[in-house]
Amino acid sequence: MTPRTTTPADQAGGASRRPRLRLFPWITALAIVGLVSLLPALGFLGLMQGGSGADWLRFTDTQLAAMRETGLLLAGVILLAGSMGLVSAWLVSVYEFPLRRWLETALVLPLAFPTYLAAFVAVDLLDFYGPVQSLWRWMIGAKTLRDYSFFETRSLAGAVVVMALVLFPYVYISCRLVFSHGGRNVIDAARLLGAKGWRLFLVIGVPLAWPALAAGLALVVLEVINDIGATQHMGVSSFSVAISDLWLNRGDLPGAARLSGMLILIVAAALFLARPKMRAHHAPTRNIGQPRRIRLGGIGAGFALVATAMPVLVGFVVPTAFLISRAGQYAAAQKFDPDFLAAARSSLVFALTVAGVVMLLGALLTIAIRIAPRLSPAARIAAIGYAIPGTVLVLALFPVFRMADALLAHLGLPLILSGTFAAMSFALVVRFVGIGAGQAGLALRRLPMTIDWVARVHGMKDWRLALHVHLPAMMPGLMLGGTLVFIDTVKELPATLLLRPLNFETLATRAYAQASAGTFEHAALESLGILALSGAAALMLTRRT
Amino acid sequence: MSKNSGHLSSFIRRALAGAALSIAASGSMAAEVNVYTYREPGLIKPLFDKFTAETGVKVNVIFAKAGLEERIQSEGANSPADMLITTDIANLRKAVDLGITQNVKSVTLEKAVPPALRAADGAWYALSVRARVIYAAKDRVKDAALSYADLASPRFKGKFCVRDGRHNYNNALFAAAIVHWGEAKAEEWLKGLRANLAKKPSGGDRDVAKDIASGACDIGLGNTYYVGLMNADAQQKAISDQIRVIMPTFENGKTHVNVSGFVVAKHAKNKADAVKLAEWLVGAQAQGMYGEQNFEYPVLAGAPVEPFIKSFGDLKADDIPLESVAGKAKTASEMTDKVGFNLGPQS
Repeated sequence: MTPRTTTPADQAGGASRRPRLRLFPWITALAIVGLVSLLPALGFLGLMQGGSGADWLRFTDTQLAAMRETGLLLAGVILLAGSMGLVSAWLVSVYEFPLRRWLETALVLPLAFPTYLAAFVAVDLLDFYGPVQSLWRWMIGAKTLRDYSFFETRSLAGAVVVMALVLFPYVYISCRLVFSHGGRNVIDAARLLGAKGWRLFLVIGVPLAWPALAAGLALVVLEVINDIGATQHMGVSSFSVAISDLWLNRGDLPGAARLSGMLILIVAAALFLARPKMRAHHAPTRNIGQPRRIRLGGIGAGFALVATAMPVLVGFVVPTAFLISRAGQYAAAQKFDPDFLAAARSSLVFALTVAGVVMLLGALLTIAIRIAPRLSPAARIAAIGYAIPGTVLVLALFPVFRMADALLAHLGLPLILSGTFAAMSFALVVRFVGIGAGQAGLALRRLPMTIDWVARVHGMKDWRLALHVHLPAMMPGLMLGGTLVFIDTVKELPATLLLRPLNFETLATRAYAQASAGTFEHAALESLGILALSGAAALMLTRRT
Repeated sequence: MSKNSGHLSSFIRRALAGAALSIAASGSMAAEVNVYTYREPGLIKPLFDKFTAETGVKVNVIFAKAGLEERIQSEGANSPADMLITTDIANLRKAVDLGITQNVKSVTLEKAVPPALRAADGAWYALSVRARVIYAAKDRVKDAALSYADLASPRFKGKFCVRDGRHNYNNALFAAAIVHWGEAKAEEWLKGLRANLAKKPSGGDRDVAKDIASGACDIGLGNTYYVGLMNADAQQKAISDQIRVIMPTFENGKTHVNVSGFVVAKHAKNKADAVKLAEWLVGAQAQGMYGEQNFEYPVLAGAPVEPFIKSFGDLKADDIPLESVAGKAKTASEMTDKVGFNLGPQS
């Protein structure tokens, strides 16, 4: 090992014990990263091989237009979801106004909506035959669209609004954590010094929330890029649609893989450049007593109420009410399908499995990094899976499963991985492990290193330190990550759809099957089931934090 | 065993089998056939249920939207897939080209399915037929007949609606146009279609019908069965009532059709039962169900066409080989890109 500055830990551990101490974290981190990042990455590189090599950097007009369209979509969603999440988090954390406590919890609910479902609901709600336009026609006495004009839901602007409405809670959750916990003291100090109103928000709030804002927006960006269902339904020619066109219509899977590789590089570069300087804002702070919120009255209270209630109303209450009325319409006509309950159970078991494994791996990886800080890039590498669009990830994993099957056969075991619950869960773990590790890492970083040193000075072994100090310290982050993964798994489509075992149906696959046949309203019950599962998890999440 | 506990126990069994890995060499006890499909369960499950009730052969299903060919390929010799049931000739062709299928010889299938709707070597067979036709506003489009070429005529400028040009329903139609007219003329036609667009291609075929009924456009392209499905749906009948279906034609006087069909997987463990299912699906009863439930045209000669669909007029299905349409899928997709079809009406 190369010489380095000595820490109290070294002095306590002694030179002779260092190799044994460092073995666990290295093996653990390498095993996890190898399994969830390197294998899929190799599969992905394999996908890019072959096909027509000339297409590497030559984009057609439509692909360029798709890039522009994706760029505009992203910019719009970032602006809207960013400001909605930031402002609502600020208002519920710093001020007191009517319904605040209730809204503080309810603001996470829109996250329960999968983007494709939100798109279908929005189009149905706002199109010519939907309740909104019907009412409008009745009011103005119009008959057809030639008598009046109305906002076109199936458009770029429509897609921006719909996506922002269901994705802003990512920003809200991470910003609220800063405003009501980590950054509480800074806000209180600024208030003591006389800052208030917009000035308090712009000068203190925004800079304070910057890392959390960036982290939340990164999740938003990746969700938008991964989406095909919503964008295609709303007529946005996104990059993802161009990629699937290359694969499906032109039989050029390598070209499609290269195109999505380009996309991943662009996004990764953007995220890296926008990466916040974490350290400065993560000085541990101690909260003194209950936060004292500024009581608002009159116009101020009205503004705060509207600004925080609107996202909940438009992003959750109205679409859910619409789904319930649709479910009622169709439930009256059809008899209850018992397969619905089986699908609900499958969704629950599946999401719990994935969330559990992600939490376990996230905890191990985070502890390994804590003990051997030089491993810290491993957390970022583990997040690769989240950047690869779902369908492409599955295609990249196929050769991995195939190799695993060959290995099992070689070992003489009568087992296969392909087409099993295990394989499907593995794919989702690959996709979401970065969220678990990321949140756990953030939480553990708030625990000063001095605690570790003191523990070691007193002769505490690594595993005891991990179990009794690190694990409790990162538990809030781990639970947050696990809950987000649970919600994402309940909603996830491309990987679940393509990898599930025979006859295995989840709420999401059943809802999508109807949507794909153009009759998503027949799956209103499944959609409500998705909302109930992920909504319940989202509510637990705010209770905890 | 009560129905509910049956569900529970099968769920636990699945979860257990899945929690570990699955046992590869499980000799199947009861007769069953494993189907991978791109057809929505709502459309195809009633057929499978009926087949199981009559034959005792259980049908296990997974539905997906894309990538099942790659999955079968990756699963290799271990693949549980016995057959792939899919829409669109290009998907059938892709499965055959990936080498994941085996040819099927069956007198029943050959007698039921006309030669134009199956591969000569038995690599794939069609199970049902759908036509891509014109939806027109009853009150605003008075033409008794229109051709595909007419859709590009300037008289429909700003009046034409269609879903994403890259969707395989459109891509196959554009490919057929290339087969009929050659690339240069097909491209001119596609440019004309784009120039006529009332709005950016989006939504599905049902949304095209909605756009016409609402007055956003006068004319559009869609598959025949959607009109049947909307007509049968109490909530959507008001929309389909405002649509008139016109059977457009190419110069040969015939209408573009596509198929749903099947291939048998190369490593099928239950080949005999897969073929049995296929033979049952082209039988008179199942072909009738394709019409009554899905509003598709039968492949079986002499099987009745569903009355509402029949009211569109007699289908004169295009007789250019479907394989040649599949062969132009890539060119069609590139052409759609080149003319900027999905960018919408304005450049």
